Amino acid sequence: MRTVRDLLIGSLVFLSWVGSAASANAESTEPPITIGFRKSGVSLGSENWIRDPQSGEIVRAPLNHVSDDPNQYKAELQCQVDDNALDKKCLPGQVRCPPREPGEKPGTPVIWKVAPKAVSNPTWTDWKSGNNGPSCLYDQKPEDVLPRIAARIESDFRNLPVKAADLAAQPSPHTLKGAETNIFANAVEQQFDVTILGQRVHIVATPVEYTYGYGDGNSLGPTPFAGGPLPEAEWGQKTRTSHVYQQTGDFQVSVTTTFRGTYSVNGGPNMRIPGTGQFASPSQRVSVWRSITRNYADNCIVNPRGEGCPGVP
Amino acid sequence: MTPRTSVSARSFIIGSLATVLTLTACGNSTQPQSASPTVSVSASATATPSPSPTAVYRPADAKGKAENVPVPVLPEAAKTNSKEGVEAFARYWFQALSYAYETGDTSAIKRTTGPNCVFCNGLQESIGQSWADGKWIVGGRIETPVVAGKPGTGPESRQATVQVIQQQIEIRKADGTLYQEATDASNSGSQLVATFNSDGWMVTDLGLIR
Repeated sequence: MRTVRDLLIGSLVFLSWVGSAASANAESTEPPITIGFRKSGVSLGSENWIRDPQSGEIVRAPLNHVSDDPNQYKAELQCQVDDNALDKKCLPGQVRCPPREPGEKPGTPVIWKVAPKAVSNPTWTDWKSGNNGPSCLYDQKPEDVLPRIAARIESDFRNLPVKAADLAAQPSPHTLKGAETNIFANAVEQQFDVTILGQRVHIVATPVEYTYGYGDGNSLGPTPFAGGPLPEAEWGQKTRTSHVYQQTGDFQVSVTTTFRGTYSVNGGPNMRIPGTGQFASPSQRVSVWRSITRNYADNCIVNPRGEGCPGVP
Repeated sequence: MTPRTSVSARSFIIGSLATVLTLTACGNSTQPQSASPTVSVSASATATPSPSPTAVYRPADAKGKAENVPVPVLPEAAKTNSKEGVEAFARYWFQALSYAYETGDTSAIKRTTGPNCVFCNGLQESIGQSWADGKWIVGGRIETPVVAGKPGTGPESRQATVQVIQQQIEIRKADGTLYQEATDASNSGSQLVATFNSDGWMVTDLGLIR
């Protein structure tokens, strides 16, 4: 008996080893080690700190805190010798930015720098791009194209064709007065590639909050909860986004989803878009009915003229 | 025009010097590096069994462990219960952490860390795993260019905001091959909480500023 069990355990171990080896490192027979100061801190889920927007002090993050990007970024022109003067003759050996299309002018190589937002007068280090390739800006005045993009990115974001959440109700389209009607939204992260001021800008829109209108004068949110479907056997149970209608009738249920965004210019770092975008979903009609339960002592065979029996008004 | 030309020329010279330094570092040269003039032979003997007679710091590479890593010394300034004291202590603690990455010796951070610091304990654990079975770490050195004590805290507990810049980390197996993909260099803000008692400062909590 024992041998068989050992054999089974042995097989399981072997199988999991094959799995990890195939995905990570063909040579490795040991589990990956989470090493490094930041990586360890993120993976340990150690208590996080934030800069309090009011006092400017570093304080413990509240439990429901959603981590934003803790970094700030800037791009330095590679040929820049001081803050005001651009040296057109760059040092040999630097990254080149060939024209993107034949006949276009070549771009200006930039080095992206990163530093933590929370530190005053921080030391900036080189930001590592995903492909390790050059970052280039294509503009007559490359030194101010990024500020110009930063100035308009918020309104550009709000005008993107972001797909709002799908809205659903359970039960639907008919539900009961006095019962919990489960109303929920389903929104997904969306990516866009747009051209802003001649630069290729990649935008990621992420749903973060939902505001529900139940159509009877009641609303919920903004709340981080999108809600979700219940199995049919559990319809009528209370959920984080369910609602009890107190009146019968037809109601237009609506949801507005708040999206946050990041943008990346020509392969540079993903930078936070200030503010948020609100995207409303088409409203759904919910018909609220009432149900009446009556108990009877007889069935229709014993008492054919009883209420509810065939032929009785 | 003249000032700009001179700036370009200076940048070029600095660039050349940097190249020379990089080359010597890569070539495992035995030339002393200006960064480590105060290596204590007796102290490094505890970290490396056979220090070279010249006791020259040599960073780790794919061929071998770091040698003669300077042992951090707790400065006098870090022995006072003040804003300046916790700043000096925080600088020391991260030097000790850097030393642990480079040598696998976590005794200095163990001595100056309380039992309930989850992040600190996790760091020590992962360093221990990375140095087990003949493995070693290449890179991982930490610098703390900004250390800012929080004014007005205390008297027994004080905080400091620390910018932590860490080099890329490779874990090398006993045969010199990579154990796993290298961990990227990082530049992060962190908050250190320390308490002061008769034995001096001790880290009681540490977290990333997100």
